[in-house]
Amino acid sequence: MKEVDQLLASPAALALIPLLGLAVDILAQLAQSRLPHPSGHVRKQFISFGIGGAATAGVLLSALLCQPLGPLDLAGTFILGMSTYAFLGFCFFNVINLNVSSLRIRMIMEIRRQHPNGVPVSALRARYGMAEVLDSRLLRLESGRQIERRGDRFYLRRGAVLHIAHFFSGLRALLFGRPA
Amino acid sequence: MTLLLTAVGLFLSAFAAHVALWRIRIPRRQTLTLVLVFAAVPLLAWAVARVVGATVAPAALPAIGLFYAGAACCYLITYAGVEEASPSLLIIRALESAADKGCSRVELAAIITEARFVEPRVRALTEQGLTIITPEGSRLTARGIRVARLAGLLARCFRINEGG
Repeated sequence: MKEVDQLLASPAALALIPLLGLAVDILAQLAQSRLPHPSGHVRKQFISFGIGGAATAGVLLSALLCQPLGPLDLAGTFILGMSTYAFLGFCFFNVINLNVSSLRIRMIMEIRRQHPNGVPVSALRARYGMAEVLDSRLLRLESGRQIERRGDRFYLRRGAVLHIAHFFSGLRALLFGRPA
Repeated sequence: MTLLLTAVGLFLSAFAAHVALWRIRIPRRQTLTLVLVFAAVPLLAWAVARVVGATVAPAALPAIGLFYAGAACCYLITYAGVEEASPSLLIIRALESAADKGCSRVELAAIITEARFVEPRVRALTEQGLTIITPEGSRLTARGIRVARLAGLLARCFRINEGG
């Protein structure tokens, strides 16, 4: 046990702890996918991200506490490790989400199904009609309580997606000098 | 704390360089340029550190490097949302502009159009070398087949169903 503590206490090994957390995140998601009644994609991803985060925090703390670090260095190194795990987890989250909702990936998969024959752009347009995309997005936003339907009209609710929209507007304004 | 400040400082320097470059001129190949900026800044920082005599313990480099690489990848993913608008975000912005009046499905359908979403993505697939246009239509290139295989593998492993 002492050898494990010494190994974890080396700075190079500290860098590996977020990778270990990511591996736990991936394995937790694989395990959840194999449950007889798996939950929705986003819920599954949040649960596995949390499990990976808990593993990262636990191993990181046990490694840091056996080092002669002052409180500031201990806090700084802990934040560095947890932020690294969060970045890696965000990347994994997006790789999975691309497969769920990216129009581009769906088109690639459709063209692959027809391979080696070509797929006319008109067929792609018909297959991925905007009516289908609009309806599925409205349904998803409504079930996620980001918007609400009253009669035949839709209204905004103040939710996380609005903050994401504001973030992108701000970033566009910063980069291009305009929010469009 | 030095580790954290070095890592955050490195990322903020790369972000500042990216903003400055984009304000001067928006590159034609934005994602590729962004990757080059994020790759160049640590090398530049290393050169500057050598000139001014600042040092970082070699043993600390993996932790700083992984933080920086993770943050850069996150930003690259986020930047895809700057380059291409998402239908969900456009719906939200339209509803925000409409305020108490709200929007009907027909009004929203006027915003979520094929010209805005399907055509740019079909074009992007060709520009990225994933498809080629033949007289029969779009076909996958060898690179496109590899991407499709990887996407299929992920879908099988994580039991993902396609959604809209």
